[in-house]
Amino acid sequence: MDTEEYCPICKTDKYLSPDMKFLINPECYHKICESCVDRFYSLGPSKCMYPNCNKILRRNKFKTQVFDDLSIEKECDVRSRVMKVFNKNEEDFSDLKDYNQYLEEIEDIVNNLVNNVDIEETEKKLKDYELLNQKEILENNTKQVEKDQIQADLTKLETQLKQEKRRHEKQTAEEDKLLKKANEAALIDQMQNESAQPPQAVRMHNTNVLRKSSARKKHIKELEEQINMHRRALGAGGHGIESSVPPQTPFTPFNGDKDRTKYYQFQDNYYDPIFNDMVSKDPTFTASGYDIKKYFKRSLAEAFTGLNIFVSEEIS
Amino acid sequence: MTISYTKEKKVGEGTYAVVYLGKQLPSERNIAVKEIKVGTFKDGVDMSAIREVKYLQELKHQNVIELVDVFDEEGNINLVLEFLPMDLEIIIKDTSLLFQPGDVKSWMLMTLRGLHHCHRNFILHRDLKPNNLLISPDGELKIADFGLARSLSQPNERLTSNVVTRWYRAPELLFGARHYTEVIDVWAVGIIFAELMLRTPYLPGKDDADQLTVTFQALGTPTDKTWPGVSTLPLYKSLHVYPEPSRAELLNRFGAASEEALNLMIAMTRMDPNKRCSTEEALTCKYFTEYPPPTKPINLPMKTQKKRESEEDYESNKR
Repeated sequence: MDTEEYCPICKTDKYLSPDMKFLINPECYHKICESCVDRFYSLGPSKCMYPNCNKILRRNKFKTQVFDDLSIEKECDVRSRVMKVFNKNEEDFSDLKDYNQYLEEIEDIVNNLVNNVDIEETEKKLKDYELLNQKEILENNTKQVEKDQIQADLTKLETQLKQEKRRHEKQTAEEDKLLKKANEAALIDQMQNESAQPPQAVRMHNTNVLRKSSARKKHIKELEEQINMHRRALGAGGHGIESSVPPQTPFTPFNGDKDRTKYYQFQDNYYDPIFNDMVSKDPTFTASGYDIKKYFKRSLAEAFTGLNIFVSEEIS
Repeated sequence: MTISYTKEKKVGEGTYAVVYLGKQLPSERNIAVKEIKVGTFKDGVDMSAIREVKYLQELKHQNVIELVDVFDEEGNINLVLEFLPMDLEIIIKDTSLLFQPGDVKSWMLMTLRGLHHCHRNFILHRDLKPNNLLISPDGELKIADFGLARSLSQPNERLTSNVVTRWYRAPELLFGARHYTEVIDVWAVGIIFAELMLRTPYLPGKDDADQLTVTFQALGTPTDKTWPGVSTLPLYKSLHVYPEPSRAELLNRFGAASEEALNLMIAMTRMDPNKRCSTEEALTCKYFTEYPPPTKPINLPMKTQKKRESEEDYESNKR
């Protein structure tokens, strides 16, 4: 039978009691069932039930297994333990090389602990480091908690904004519909009564709608503001590596390459007896997006850029 | 000092040209040489070669492929082009790569900058698709393949509407318009934008008729009301009228898109060419300035094959 199917201590079978749960203890990772844990460890720490395993186990350290592979389970436990102590961030280093060195150190410790290499020495190293950097570790912990809080706030605000926007859209659409109806009714009224003024009620309604929608818009804007503030708080957290990078050139849509030299001044209309007529008489031009102004622009650009003449300079 | 070029490896062959990889000597710069086949055409050199030389020698921009040189060898025309090992299609299709919103923004930005340079010089590209957007080793995107390019038409010129690869063809082209303008390129970029977010072609029509159906299913059928004069276009038929998608539907379709990204895409894929945005409007829209900033080209996702090869070399050297 598969070892996963029954508890090696009490031999209870998973098939017969499907409710049973297996627990492990990070001391030795030997698996026993929940009821055995209750039976053996409720009176205080005791030895592991497995033959030849002399580890002393405590009840409160037992936990359910997350990964099928015990070696992975063990590595995750070790890692979380080490990371609790080695909790510096990239921002805490001024040099990328130092940071990499630090990460390397963490990996070495994890590797040693997982694969049982120089256990005692490594444990001592870990403990020494913890003692030496107690204050910093605490600080980093609170920092991380703060950061997580900001991130959580940000996600919350963003979902709120999205909902708000959608609601705004829906309401605007509905109000438009209502307004249209009201206007139509007013028009009919007007035609019947021949009074020149639209009824008071409709005008009132219009201003009301306007006021409401602008209030909603304001609300959305406020939310956006808040989100931006949070983002800035997240982004400006570190003073380490980030700030040592030379300041970026600001973003420009055209990469600083927007052509502002104008060889010519463009007029609204140009007289062209053939083309003007041709375009205005054939509706397929407009339907295909053709605009005769583009053609005039092209002609002027070609005429002047080729010669590199600025008309205004030439005149003066 | 004379400059010479080597052809080292044949990398591709099209209907009218053979492409080689090579080096510029003595600078050792990597280049690609496009050798135009002459003699196979009755009327001399193929049209697209002429177009390519004609427009590329005018256009010098960071996001447009550079025509380094043109030379002739035994009566064959050779175009010396910048060496660009990757294209956007390969990157989109590589499912092992993950795109961040900033990555998509960066590619869009570079495409639009390149296209803006073409348009301000009154040049229509007419064949934009991911396959023609090449990527340099340092991540810069460059518009390539000007074989179908031409300059903005005069009113008395009638252009062929049979341009642009089908999936990226603007509706006015599908209706057989003969006086279209540079906004057909904007449409193609809009569809590429969608493809970057979906990671699959947005409007994959099986044939020209199907392309109309697919396009209108996705974006609504234009009528004379929404697009004045559309019924005067040669191939306009009374089609099944699909409703225009609501904003909520589009949001649903592009789950990863921000509001501003969606605004830009809607502006670039408007049916009526008169209402579609220009490259200038697209570049100045809010999408490019909102968070997150566009990724720096050098940090964009790249196919890793090359890297792996060099790692293997390294490993075998160690042994």
